[in-house]
Amino acid sequence: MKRFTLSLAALLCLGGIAQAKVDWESKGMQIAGEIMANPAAFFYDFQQDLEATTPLPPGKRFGVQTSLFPTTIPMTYTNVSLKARLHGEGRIAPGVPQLDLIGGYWNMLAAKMATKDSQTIDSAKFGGYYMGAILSSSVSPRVRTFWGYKRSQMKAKLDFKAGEEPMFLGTAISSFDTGFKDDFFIAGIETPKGIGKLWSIQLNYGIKTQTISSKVSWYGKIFELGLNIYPEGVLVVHPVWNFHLNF
Amino acid sequence: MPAAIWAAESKVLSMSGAVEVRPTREGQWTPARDEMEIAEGGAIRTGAGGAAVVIMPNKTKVWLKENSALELEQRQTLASRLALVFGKIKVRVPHLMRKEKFEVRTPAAVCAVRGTEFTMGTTEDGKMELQVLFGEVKLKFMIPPEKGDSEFNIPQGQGLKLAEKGKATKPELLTPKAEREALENWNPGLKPSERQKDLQQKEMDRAQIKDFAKATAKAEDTVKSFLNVVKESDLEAGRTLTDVHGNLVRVEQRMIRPDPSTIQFMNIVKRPNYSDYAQAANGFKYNGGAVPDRLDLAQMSMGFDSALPQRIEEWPGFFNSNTINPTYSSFIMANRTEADSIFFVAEGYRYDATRDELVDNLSVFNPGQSYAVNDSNDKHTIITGVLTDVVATTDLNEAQDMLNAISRLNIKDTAIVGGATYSDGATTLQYKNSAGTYVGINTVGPATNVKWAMNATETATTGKNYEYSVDGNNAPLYQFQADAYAIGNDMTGTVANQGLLWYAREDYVIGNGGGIKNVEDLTNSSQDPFTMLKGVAAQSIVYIKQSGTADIANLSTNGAAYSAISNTDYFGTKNIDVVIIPDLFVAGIQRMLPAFTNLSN
Repeated sequence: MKRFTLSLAALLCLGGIAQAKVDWESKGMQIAGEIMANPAAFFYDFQQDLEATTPLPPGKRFGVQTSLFPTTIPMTYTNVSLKARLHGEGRIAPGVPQLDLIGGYWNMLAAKMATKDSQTIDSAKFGGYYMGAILSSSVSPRVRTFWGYKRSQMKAKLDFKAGEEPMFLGTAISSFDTGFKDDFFIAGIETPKGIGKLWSIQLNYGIKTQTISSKVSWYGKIFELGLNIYPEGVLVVHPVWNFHLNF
Repeated sequence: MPAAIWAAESKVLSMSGAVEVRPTREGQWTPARDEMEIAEGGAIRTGAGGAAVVIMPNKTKVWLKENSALELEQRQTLASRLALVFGKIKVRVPHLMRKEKFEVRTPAAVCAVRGTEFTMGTTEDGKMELQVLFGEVKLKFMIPPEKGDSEFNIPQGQGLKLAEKGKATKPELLTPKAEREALENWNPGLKPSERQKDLQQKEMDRAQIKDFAKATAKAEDTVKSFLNVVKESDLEAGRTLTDVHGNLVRVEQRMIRPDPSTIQFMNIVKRPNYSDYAQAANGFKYNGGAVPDRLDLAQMSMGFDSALPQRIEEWPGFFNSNTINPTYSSFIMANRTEADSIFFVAEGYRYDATRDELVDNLSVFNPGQSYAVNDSNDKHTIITGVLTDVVATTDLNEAQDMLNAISRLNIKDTAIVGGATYSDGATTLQYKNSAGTYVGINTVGPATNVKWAMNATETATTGKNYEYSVDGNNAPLYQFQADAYAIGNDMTGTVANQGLLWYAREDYVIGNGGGIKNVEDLTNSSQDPFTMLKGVAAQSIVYIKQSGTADIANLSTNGAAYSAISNTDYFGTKNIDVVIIPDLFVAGIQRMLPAFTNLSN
């Protein structure tokens, strides 16, 4: 863990030097443009940060997780994820992989708070959920591969106050109801690096959006640290910090 | 089924070297042989160099290394217990029935397993070690240690070593050496060099897979770099759909740089057949009839006073670190079905250095002149008409040359440049031809008829434009609009009394099937914007109509304005019908937003 933290700190320092000449104003405008072009995808990347898509460790039946960064802080995504093992590897028949059900829900507090101060927005709901299943199978005592499927949905609903509706081609728009929905295939590999400590790397492929993302995680008994990479996202790399308990 | 399984006894599957079996609890030790049965209470032991494999009725396999002793303590329908007295064993418990228990005991601990593979070693005085290869082992010490836990759930990849009975210990990760020894082939009769043959083969296979993955990644990088180069050099998109009148439409979009300081966005609309259509209620009349091989064009150009970087990705930094201004911008819509006779409408914007912004007022026809914001000549202007070739059959394309000049705002009205604020909008209008000479635009080609005009209805006190749209929740997204333009800005008719023309447009938001979208189709969707925009297009049908009145003061209401719009076209019978897809526009905005922030208007 110490080595991991030091490596991360060194990387951040090097990154700072390398980007000393970046035109931040220009970069900021570029990012704003990308968010405007596809806001749902931007916010969905944070949903992926909180999604617990690794299998339960061998021998664990149930897991609960909440993501702390960058979801709860600073995005105010209050969230909870659950995992439940249906059966362990080889329990039903030799070679049958472990099967875990996964799912979770989040809601953005800031959206509700902003509504209170807005003169034009009547109500705002911003949240999402995901659910899926993960199969995991050992290729050696210390290497497990896993495959899975998840359905993710993010919903953003905005109702404008009567008389304050924006106009579009001569028509008043009373509400926006938009979001993001996709089915993902998950494939990954994990290996222990200590008692109760695991490294995992996984790829997620969105079938409809045809996007790919990867998660590299280090997780212990209580916390998970990770780097999520969204090659087509606005913020390509998300550092992630999650709290979890497995029983 | 269980009865059938338990009807059989455990037996010796294979063996080598010195192996003895005690078939029953009270039986005598006798030399073992293949297929020899061992009942409950029976035992098996190996001497120096001996090895054996025992198979149990529930398919559990137990491998014994040399100098080991194993007793089958319990063997009931739903409970089995082995006792490892000393030595080393490997146990593979493939699958147990519901509620079935399987335990292995040593002098120090009891291990409960299900669907598990593990190895275990012990001495008679209680030292032991355990390596869990697959699954999980629940271990409980017979004598709880003074400190630490007495029970552990040990998952695969971990093991445990007990140096002394009753001493505290805890699970630890398997070392590669221990894992290798546990995974090797434990079958009897193998030489030491043969035991790890399978493992070595697997390692070679993995190395080959790694090499293959590296080669694939390298090839992928090469393809990515190639695609990036292609993407950077140009932007393009295309879609086939049906328009609002049911015509099949192919839309091609390009963003190009005709020269280093100009950006040009082209939206080319091709239709194999353009059918005649009836006038929409509250819309405008089309007089052109059915047309085969129809081609329409929407084109936006913008010029800058410096050359832009070659790579689009460098533009944001360039616009922020350089003082760069646009010199002009133009938006042209044209019916290009006939190459030698082009019907078009163009809106031009020149850079006004005094106001530091792009303006579309009278200065479009008087380059360099600045008009104040409240000046009566600071109103929107258009240039429209028909451009024709001098001789249709030759390769010389004067019509296109004129359109290019209009696109670059290489135009002027010599009467306006001379100091007047109005003209007849035609005879003094000039364009710079490809030879670099200004010539009268209406002197080129036998039927060229071009006029410029200024918006006459921008001041609501004297006249009104025409607008029609459907209100209400979830209204269909279409809008009809027409604005009166005074030709040559000659509101008084002093010069030649050219009067008014109407710049009329029918705008629709349509789906790929041609249906008109409703508001909620766009605002209430679970799709992300990119996916949603793939199914949406805008169709704009443009007409230039004659006016039933020359006095905009008569246009006091929306209805009066509509009545003043003649069904007769001002130039021939053509219209312009463009379908614009948002695909390239969104990508362009996304990539060029910083550039637009520097343009105040």
